[in-house]
Amino acid sequence: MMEYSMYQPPTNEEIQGLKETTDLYKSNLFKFQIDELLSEVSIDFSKTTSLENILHKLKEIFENINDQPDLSITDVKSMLLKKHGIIIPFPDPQPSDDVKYKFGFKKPTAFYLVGSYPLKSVVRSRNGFNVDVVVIMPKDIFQEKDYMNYRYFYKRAYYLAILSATLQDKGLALNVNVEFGALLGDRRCPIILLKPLENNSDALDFTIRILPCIPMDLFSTQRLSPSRNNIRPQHFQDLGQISQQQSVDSLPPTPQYNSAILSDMYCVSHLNLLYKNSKDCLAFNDACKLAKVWLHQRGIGGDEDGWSGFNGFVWKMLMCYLLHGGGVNGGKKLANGYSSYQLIKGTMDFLANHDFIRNPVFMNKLEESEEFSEKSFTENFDVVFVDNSGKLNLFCGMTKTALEQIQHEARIAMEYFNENKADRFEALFLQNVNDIKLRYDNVAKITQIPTSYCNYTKSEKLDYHDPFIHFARTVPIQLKQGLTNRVNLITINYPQLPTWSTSSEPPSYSFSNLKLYIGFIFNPEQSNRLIDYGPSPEDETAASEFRKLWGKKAEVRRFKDGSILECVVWNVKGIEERCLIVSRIVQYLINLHYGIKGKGIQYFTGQLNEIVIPSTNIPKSIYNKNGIANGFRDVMQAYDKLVKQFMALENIPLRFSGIRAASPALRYTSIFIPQPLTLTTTNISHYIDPIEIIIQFEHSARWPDDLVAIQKMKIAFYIRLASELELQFPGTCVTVAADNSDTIISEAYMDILSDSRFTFRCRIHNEREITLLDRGIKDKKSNQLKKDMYTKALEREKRMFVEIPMHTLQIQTLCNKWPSLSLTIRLTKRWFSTHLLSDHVDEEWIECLSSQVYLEPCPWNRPGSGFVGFLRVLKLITSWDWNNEAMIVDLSEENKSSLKNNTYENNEDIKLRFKNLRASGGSCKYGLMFIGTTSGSAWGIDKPCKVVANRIKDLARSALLYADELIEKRENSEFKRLFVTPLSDYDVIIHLDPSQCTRYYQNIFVDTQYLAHNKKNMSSLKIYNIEDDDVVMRDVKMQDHEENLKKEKMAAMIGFDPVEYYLDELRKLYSDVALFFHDKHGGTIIGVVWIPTNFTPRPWKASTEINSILVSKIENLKDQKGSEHDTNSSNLQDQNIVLNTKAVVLEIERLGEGFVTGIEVRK
Amino acid sequence: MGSKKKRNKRQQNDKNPHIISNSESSGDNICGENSGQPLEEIPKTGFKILPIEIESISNQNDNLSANPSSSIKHHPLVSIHYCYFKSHDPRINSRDNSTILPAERTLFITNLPVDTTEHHIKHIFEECGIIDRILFHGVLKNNEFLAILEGSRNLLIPGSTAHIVFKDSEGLTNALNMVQKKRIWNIRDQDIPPLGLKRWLQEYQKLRTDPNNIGAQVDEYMRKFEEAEQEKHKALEARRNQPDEDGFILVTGTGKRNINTDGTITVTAVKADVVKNLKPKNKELVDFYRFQMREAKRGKLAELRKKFEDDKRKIADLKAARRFKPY
Repeated sequence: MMEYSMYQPPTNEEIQGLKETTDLYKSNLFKFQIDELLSEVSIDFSKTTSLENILHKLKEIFENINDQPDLSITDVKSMLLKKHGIIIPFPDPQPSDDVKYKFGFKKPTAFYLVGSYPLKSVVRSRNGFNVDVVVIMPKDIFQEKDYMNYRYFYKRAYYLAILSATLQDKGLALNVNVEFGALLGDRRCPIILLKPLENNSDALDFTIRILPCIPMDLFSTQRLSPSRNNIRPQHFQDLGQISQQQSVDSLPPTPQYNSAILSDMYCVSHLNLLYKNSKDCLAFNDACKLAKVWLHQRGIGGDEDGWSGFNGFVWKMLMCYLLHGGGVNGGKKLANGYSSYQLIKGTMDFLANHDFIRNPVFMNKLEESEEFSEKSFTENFDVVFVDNSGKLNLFCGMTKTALEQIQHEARIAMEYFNENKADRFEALFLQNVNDIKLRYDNVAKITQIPTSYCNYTKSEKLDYHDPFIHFARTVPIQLKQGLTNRVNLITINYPQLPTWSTSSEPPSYSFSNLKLYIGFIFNPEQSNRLIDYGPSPEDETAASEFRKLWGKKAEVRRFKDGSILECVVWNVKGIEERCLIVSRIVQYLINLHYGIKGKGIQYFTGQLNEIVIPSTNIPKSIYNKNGIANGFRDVMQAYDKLVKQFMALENIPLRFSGIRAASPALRYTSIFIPQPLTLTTTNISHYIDPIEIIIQFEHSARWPDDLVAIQKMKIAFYIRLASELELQFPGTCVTVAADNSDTIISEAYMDILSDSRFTFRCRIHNEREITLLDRGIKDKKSNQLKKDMYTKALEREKRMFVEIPMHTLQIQTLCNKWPSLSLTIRLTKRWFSTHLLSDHVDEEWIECLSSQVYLEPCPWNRPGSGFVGFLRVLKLITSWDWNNEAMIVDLSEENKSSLKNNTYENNEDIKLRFKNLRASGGSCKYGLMFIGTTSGSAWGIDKPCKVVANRIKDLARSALLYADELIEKRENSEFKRLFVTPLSDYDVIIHLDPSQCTRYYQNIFVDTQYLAHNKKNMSSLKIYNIEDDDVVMRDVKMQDHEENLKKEKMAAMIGFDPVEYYLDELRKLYSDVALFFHDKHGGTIIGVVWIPTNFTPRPWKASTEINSILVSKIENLKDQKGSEHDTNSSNLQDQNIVLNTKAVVLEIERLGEGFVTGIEVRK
Repeated sequence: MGSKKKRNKRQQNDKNPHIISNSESSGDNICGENSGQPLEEIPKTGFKILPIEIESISNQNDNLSANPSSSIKHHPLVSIHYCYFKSHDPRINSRDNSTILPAERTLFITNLPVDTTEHHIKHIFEECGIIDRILFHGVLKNNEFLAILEGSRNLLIPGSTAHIVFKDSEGLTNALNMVQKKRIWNIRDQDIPPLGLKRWLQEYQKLRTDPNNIGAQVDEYMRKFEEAEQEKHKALEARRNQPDEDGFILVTGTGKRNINTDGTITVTAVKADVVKNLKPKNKELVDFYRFQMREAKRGKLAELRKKFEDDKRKIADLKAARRFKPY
């Protein structure tokens, strides 16, 4: 049937439909998604009756509004306050009470619906949508010179106050709440906001905004050109003396002020232009809707955006411009026949790549007038995009900083549009990008805005009355001078002024407790640079500028190449501190130039670093902070040296074919930076992490054809290698660990304490084993038991000898490429670990997960700091729909390099594997958080289980919420709390003796008193050791030195962690009964959660595999868990049993004898 | 070794029949009050219920060591563990030789604590008679990759079973007639291998014994292994070319591995299934005949449609997952 319809001759429409999607849209999928999205964000115009009602009533009210007589300022103020309780929203500076002009009111001459609602391009945002109503104020309440000295704005504010008074009186009929707001955050232009009251049952969430405007010919536009000054400095000291016309030309221009008046004049003409274009171009509205969603998701143009000067309206104007021009050689960039996809892509391309600074954009050709020339615009505005009238700069509020940020986002969007290998729709339109903690590599929060600083001159004050605005505009420029190419982007983020009630004083930025966030996106190659080079001191002007920028920090140095330069040097210890240089620069400069320090500025980046450095209180013999100054370099060098030693080893029967790293320490991802053993003492009581490496011999036919025999041969090799290594490289100590049981794959290995004092755990890989295991599985004669054992063994063998070394190489490469990945992984590991999840996820799994935020960073760009990297991993966990999707991690970056088809198949393979895994073993038993790599490895197959997977997600979610709270509200010292796990969900908590935990020094809240204990305690262990040694050593005569070494070797219990043994036993015994949770890195508790099925009574059997108790017996032990079950059947007839939790708890305690200090039963 | 002495003292205390003061009253009820009564039975199964009182070791150690973290509340101080037993029923496991588990003097016990040792069993059942041997059934494998399971002192899996063989049938009879009284689990005996920290240290050390020693063991194993290989080889050789009863000769290989290798490059024959998957060289001309072109066009259209349908389905999935809510 299906086949038949597939080959049916096509109809014309079908052909066209099929073709269209590929021609006009990116792909079918993209078109479908666009359609779905549009239907989701568009409003239902059939449901707008209540809105229409209100609009009609509004019109009626305004048409019947009474005129007011002309009154003085004190009269209007008191009249409105007394009669209506309204404070007139006069902009700052407030008019003084002795202004001579009168304030009048006459009913509006016209009433228009403007904005996107009448154009039907309205889009729902998080806060509903806006319906804009323009009220044209009559000409005769203004005077010719009202454009000067805020007179227009004062009168406008009065007009608005009268309107709001009327609306408040009639408010009951309208059923709306009346508030004031500032249009685009500009306090000069207050507006009225009408919000339907709660009891309005209509599903639409809208706000009606009333914008007072003036006719286009009210003021002479010449007077309002960008270079004109319309605020006389004297105005605020000596009113009424505006007569010094002769000096006007020398006064500083007030372009922002002028634009604010102009935009009130051209409001209606813009509406007409947009209306015409949306009629001509069919997909115009859809494209606008898409663009608005894109802008919303990036926090541009909404209430949360006080900084950009860009919004949906400007986007539309830009699209209008591109429909008529803006293309190559003066052609059109867009055409009326374009699809919505093509329109948005074309506009985005222009936005991303047009150089607005060098080539200002004019919608129409400019008239030949001096006032509105290109020069006058570019000199007075940062960015220029002049409207169809040729008078108003639509980008008047935009700073260069904001432009850079918008273009940055637009460039990312263009990448997504052009991406062929993955579907980026979600990143483009569906994800919320505007999350301050995830968006930038570093964030500085400024809570004290200075009111005076040297850049804020008197003339600047004229146009920027609010220091907050001026500070926000200028601070990034200052910082950029200091940071130079360390950062790719500096952004400013602050919300628009909040709305205010008509009866309260209007807010201002500086006094409304607003916070300013400065975001930084790093240039990873330069951000950690240690020296900032300045000019030669001979170049006096440049040198003095440099010194002015850096203050006392600037110094003159002679460099290796002989040059003498002004420079700034940043001293650091260790790689963690190196990542903090940018933060130090920012804090230094802000303090130097704006005097903001201490509580006035919070900087978010290094707060988490202490998490991955053992506490400073720890004795140096255990962990020496100085030993980690070089980061991972020392251990890498030690490894290289060892490899060379192996290769140079003589007197061994086979040559080495390869030595491979297989440890987090060798791929920059161990939580703690490994450090050499500095001790000369033989008493080592703390955990020494062995660094896993794999050695492989060249092929030989002499290996036996039997798995057990191969293991024995390996042991023989270990012994031989051990003695040769010790002999040929003095200072090396090797311990062979092997037991002589007959296993098919072995646990044997040798621990090498190399002469560079690092400890390596070395295992031999023999390819023959894998062949033999494979053969054993395929052998028809093998029984199921053997097959299962062989399959398990094969999996382990492959993981240990093939996948982990490959993984190590891949992660190594990625960490070298993106330096902050290392810290991200280490923080993420610590997070999992402190939340007692060490045993429920593999380290490699965490590494893949963390790498994913670097490999697939959308919708942001790649993290540039461990801080943001870590938070993004948490975000990834919360957004990963692991019930339905496998995560595909392209560790080897094959997808990028290989051909398109290949990738697709590769990913399909992983998806198939995931599907099969899910299908096997019942509902959601395997692969809950499945990660497949494109190189064929798979992680997260048998763990975490469902309970744990859910917990991981919950923990990540609350961690993000807490991070929000920290960044928004609190002092920043409490980041450590992200790493404190809630214990309320555990049924039982086993407390371990910290002084017996060899890894206790790694604990996040280490108490050094136990470390002292630790020493004492372990020295008793040592006695125990030596007793054993003596037997061994009696026969073997050794030289003093060697004996010392031997003793050291015996005492250094490499990799000995009693908790690991304990957990291993518990898991083996009770895997059906309980889940165990522990922090591998120094945790001193084990959390236990009973598996609930064990409390369902089941019939007694001779063999049940749980420690059972008859339900009837529980009646006698009322405090036992499970007593709530079956209370009415207490007779002996009842043969049902449940888990005897209390007895199990005691068993658990006995198993941990000498180690468990107490068991807390909580539920 | 002051601590040892103390422990011995403690052990004596344990043997005293008096009840430890801080044990819970509910526990006493079960073991104390009904003393003299025969053990309860699980109806219709013939299994007797054997309650054993188990005390927390931290209770016992409280006086001994001033633990730094003793402020933590130790919760379950005493609990009752229940074992169930009856006389061994040879029918259940008919393959068992009655000489190994003679029915008249073998007791079958189930739901043993995980740390059960012979000492524990003997401690509980010594009142009944001399125990000849004990067979544990649920021994926890120390290493899941052991080629052959070997028995040593190990932990038991939860709820595991054992057969207890008494020296004479009187022992079994006595056991079946055991009465209710306080029986305790925690016994101290030098011969019981330790649990916990000491055990793990031993394990850790055991792996790192004298290399010469283990080397010798390995050599021994390899010698035996090679002998066995030789034997096998000889046997194979012997069978070679020997007609069986029907006069057929079984053709066998010697099992020698191909050694076409110089250490780095190995030459082997191509495997059949590899050959099968090798693509034949494409000698055909594409779209040569008109019908081929038509086919190709039809195919292309079908593919377009298929992709269209696929995408539609994908969207439906995404929609079902409510993925189009941007906020």
